[in-house]
Amino acid sequence: MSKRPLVPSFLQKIDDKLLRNKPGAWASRAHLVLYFAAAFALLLFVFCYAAFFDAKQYSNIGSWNVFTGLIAFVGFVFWLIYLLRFNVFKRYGNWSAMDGLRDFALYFISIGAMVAVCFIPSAVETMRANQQFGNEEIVKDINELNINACRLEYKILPLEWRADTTRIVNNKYVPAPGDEVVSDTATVVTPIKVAPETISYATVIDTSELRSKLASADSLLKINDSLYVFYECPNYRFVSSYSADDYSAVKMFSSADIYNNTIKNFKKPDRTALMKRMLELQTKYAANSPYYYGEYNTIDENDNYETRINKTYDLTRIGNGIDNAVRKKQAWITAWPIYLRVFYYIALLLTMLVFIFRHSTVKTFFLSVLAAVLLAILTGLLMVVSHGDEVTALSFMIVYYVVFAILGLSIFKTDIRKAIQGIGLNLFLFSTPFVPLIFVALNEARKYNFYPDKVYEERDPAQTAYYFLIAEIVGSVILVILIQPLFKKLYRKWYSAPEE
Amino acid sequence: MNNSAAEISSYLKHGDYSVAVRRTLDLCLDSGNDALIEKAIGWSRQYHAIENGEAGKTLPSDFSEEAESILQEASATGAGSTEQHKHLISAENISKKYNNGSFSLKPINLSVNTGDVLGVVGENGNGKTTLLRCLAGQLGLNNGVIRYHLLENPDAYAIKNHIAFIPQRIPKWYGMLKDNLHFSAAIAGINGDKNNLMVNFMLERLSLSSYAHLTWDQISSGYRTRFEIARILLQKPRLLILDEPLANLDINAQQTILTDLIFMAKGAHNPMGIILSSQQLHEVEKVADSVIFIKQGNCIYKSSDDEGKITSNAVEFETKAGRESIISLFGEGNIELQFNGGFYTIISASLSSQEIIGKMIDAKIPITYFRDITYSTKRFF
Repeated sequence: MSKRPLVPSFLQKIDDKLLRNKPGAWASRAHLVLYFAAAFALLLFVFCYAAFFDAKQYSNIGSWNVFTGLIAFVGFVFWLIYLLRFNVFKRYGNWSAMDGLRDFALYFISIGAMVAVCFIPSAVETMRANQQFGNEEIVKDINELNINACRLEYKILPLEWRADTTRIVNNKYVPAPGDEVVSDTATVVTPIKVAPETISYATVIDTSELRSKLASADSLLKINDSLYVFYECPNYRFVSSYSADDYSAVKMFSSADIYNNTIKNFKKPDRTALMKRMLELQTKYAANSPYYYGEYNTIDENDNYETRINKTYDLTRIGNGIDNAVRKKQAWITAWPIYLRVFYYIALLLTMLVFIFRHSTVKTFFLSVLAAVLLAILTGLLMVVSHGDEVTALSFMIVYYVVFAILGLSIFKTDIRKAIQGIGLNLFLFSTPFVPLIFVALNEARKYNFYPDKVYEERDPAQTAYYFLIAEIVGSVILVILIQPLFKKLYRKWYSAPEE
Repeated sequence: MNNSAAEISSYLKHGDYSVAVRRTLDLCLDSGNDALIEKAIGWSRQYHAIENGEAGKTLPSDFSEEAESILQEASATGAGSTEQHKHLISAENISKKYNNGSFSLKPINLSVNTGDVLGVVGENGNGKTTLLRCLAGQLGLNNGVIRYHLLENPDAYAIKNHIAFIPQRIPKWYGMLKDNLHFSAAIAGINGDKNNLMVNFMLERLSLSSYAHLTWDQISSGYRTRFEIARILLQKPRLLILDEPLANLDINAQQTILTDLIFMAKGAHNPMGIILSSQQLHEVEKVADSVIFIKQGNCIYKSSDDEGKITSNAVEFETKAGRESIISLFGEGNIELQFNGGFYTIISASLSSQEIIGKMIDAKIPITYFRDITYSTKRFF
């Protein structure tokens, strides 16, 4: 047994056992890939854990992803060179009945391990951000920052609300009080001062816009079914973060909340204590600016109250820090379906390519790649010439798939190895997991094409996404089911057949 | 003690250790007794250590006694008897024409049984490799049929699993040589400890143990051929087809490999048929049970069918004497004399080989080389 560098003795023993007892599994080198991937992942985790100690700073996850991606790619190339040189399938022997499926699974696991490593920096960054800041903690601090700023700078705050008298046109539907589209806060008219110069009249909106205005209004006065006065509170939110309270029981105060809670019945604060607290929060959240602005925080006499407050308490940097932390905390919550798909499709596509290469001849493999490229170019040309739409393109794909399937299946009927059949088989396998997706896409495109106005409005994105998800799963399941009884058999027959 | 064991004892007695070790290993393998095979491997290692010139090593005093004990044990298991000949492959009127029309192999008939060695000879580019590739299932036929008698309704994969084909240019191995052997044994269903045993056996049997930890690039082309043969033999093919296996071997290795193959083909462990092509006519003819000669795609001579039809004797020899003196010795019209620039060839219907060489010795014609090629395909070149 050869002594491989950096391989511990237990793995060497596993390697030896596999070589002598499970040659197919041994030849996939999945055990070595998993070991090195795990070792690298651990190392990377430690590095990332140490590097991502401050979640409020700007993320450089892109650079980390490039770095880990390159390392994973180098690992993949090493593994690939080994696999392509030591081409097991091409050695005749007594392989197990499920060897095709086993090989596919091992390739997927190996490639999956290498791809998964690339997600470690992002995952650690999110983990560290969640360790450093709680969801409620951030929201409470944002509220505290805004309230404290208002209390400290009460003298320069504008207190008058803006009024907007609005007439509703096309008034088929007018929400009644208590209607679901009217929020509680919006129906209550708060006693407020209104600056005369801010009152505007007869802004005309339709009922659709009315709904959104009702939902977001700080305050309103309903004069009759078609006339409303909307009141807009001055901005008292100097620090906010778009989705900071999405996963928090505590919610961010709106400017109206701050007005009602703090400004309306203003009490003189203990400035020293508040200033001390503001400094603490600044230390806690202010991100290092990636740019140098010189006298960024020097207050100019022309600055409005927001700018003055921002500069006085360094709220821009604090806001950036909070944004950075929130983005990092929520990166995986919102993006995991995308990450999962990126992981899955990279692993699936590479696995299929490796599987095809290992079961095909070198010449046929590259001819298959060439054929796929030529077909894409040809289809593109035909689309341009014929002004084809989405339906045309998807129909082409289905026709191609049928042709690939016929060519591939014709191997059962011939006794000679022909390159064209090998190309057909390669592309047949490669296309199979995407066929359900193509059919769903075609169905959606046809609906849209045939009833453009009607269906466009009625299309439910969630339903469509669900259909696509089912198609993705079904495609992969079909591939897995067919690997051994169909594709492996076809490859076995095609590869072992005599040449012309 | 059976005949094989007695023969090996004789080798040992006369100091022919190399052949004795190889034959003993074969005998132990035929016994099917793993412990005995292990013992024989250990014993063989002692010999190879000395053969490889390991410092300070000499044959232990009990070397021959240990050998006798191994032979006794092997004999007790009944090893040494060979399997009955079985039909392996028969080809009926097979022909092949390449699509570009550059060459065609004309209809050929042949058959091989287990334990048989069929030599295929002919000049370069005359169809030897095409014939071998057709028999190995690598090339499709235009006409004719090949029957693999030990397989029932075989598909192409089963045929290729049943037959081992070693091309003249052996594809490169990657990784350590020994790992490749373990792997080949494992895919042939030899697992676990048996896998180790068989790989060690094959390494010893083909004197490759010292090279097992090297890589392909670290060994000579001759050793590559030997490793490839070891790998193939571990997979226990029923028919072994070798295309020019002797091309990269030195003269001693040629002899050793050929005799090894014959012993293994006829052994009880995995009796198999062998088809081999070579330019080394005399070496092949020495070991082959039958020989076919192919010229421009035609089989123009098959020893099994045509030997009885030969009506003249032929010898080739090398001498510094001139053509005139040779003709004057035998008389114009009694012989046909040819000279190819190196050798003279005499063909005579009336004189035997012994008479020809006798006359030349009597006439004091200096002869540096002489060979009777009456039944050799050499006379067709």
